[in-house]
Amino acid sequence: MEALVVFFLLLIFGYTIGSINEKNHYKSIEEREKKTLPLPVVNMKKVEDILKPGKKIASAELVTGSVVVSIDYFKRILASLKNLVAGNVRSYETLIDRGRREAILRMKEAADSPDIIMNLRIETSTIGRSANRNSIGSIEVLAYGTAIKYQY
Amino acid sequence: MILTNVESVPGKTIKQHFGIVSGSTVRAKHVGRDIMAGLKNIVGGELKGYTELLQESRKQATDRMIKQAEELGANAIVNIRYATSSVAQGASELYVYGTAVQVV
Amino acid sequence: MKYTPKTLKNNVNVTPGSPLRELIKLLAWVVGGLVALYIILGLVVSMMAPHISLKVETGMGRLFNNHICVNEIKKESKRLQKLVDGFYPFLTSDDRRLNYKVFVTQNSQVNAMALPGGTIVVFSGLLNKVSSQSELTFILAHELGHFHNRDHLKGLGRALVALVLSVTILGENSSATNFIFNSIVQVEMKFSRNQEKAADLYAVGLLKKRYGNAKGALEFMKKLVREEKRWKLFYYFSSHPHPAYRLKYIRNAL
Repeated sequence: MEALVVFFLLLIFGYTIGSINEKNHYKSIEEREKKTLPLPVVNMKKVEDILKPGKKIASAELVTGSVVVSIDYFKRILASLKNLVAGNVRSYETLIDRGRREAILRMKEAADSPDIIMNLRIETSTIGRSANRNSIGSIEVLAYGTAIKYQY
Repeated sequence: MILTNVESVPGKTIKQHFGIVSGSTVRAKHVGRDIMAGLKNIVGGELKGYTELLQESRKQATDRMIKQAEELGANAIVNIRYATSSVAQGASELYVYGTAVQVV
Repeated sequence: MKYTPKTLKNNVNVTPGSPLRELIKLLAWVVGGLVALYIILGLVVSMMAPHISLKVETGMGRLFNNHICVNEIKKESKRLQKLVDGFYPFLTSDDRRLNYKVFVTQNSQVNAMALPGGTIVVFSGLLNKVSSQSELTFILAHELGHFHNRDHLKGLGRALVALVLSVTILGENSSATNFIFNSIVQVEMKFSRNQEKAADLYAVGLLKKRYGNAKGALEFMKKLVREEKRWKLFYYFSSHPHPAYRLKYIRNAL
């Protein structure tokens, strides 16, 4: 009985706070994506392809951005139920989408005003799985690439 | 839409690029398939249900990436990479990304 | 290679839809499927329960006994054992095949249980509530009623089926398992209230056979009614029927 009450409270709490959090996160992601739009990111590794004609490279350095995000209780329940019925698991899709975009943004922001980031790689890993009873549905996304500055 | 996993489209030249495009998906099979796969695990061999699931997911992820590229006005995606991860139990998570370009 | 900055308007990587509506749809599917599966399995187990052999049952009982023997109050166990032994001549030959053993354990809960193999576990919390010998005989007769109806196997079987099902499907640690298990326990309790009624009526019959009256049953129920201050709706979540209701059908049976 008590367990059921706690369960529903967590569900409602997770839903309300979780959706507010997600909405705010998406808002901030969209704003910052607009801000960092002038900086191009590609996953090619041949410098000749990227180099603008007549330009020389001044510096190249590794830039990284990483984030750990978790989904709320409500979505976790939703995902476990969705596992019984076939189809897209929407709650995890938003989690992964948010994680990847955030990691790329952080990588872009970490770079010291370069002209282009090349050879982008994205790694996703799961953390906190089966560490305790209520396993944490959280992911770590790491985005890394090489920031190139041209000579002017 | 031309898709390649090399840095260019051989035989064509890249005119302009639009940055990274990506598609991701998390999909699950229904419980019956999960149980069947669990049973099949005892004897080994191909898990048809899961092969299908992964193929569907990969296709959906690719389609989503193509949609992004189309919206940007690209006609090719180069240097495509596929990746899988495992957050949700029993669900497949596919991720695909590449650089959207315009070739002539 | 020229860079053309452009923003995407649509987020194609997330399937559109509202999570709340999705939850309702999913719940309907999952709960519907599970209830159907559960009812079918429950029927199978109930049908099988009467056919479990004595040997299997005593074997199962031994497993439980190892856990129960801790904190035993030996003196009380002996006293209650005598009362149970007194019932033997009044049991049917089928019921007599089991070797009934009483364990009184140190536990503040007001409860008693019938376990496979003929073990009756009485918590000391219940003993503290009981004031007379005749009330005690009613409680023991009630547990004997569970053995008579083989509820101890049915309940166990269904709970086992539910547990095995949810663990295999969802995994041990998933929160959905907890949720589904909780809801199954609720349903199980509703089933069990009918079994409690049957056990009560059996106990009344047994007491009448042994003593010629069922004074203990009435006394105990009246006491429960007096002490019961909880809201009636709360009994939806309880394993036993409301004491007032129990008192009524016991009176009717007399």
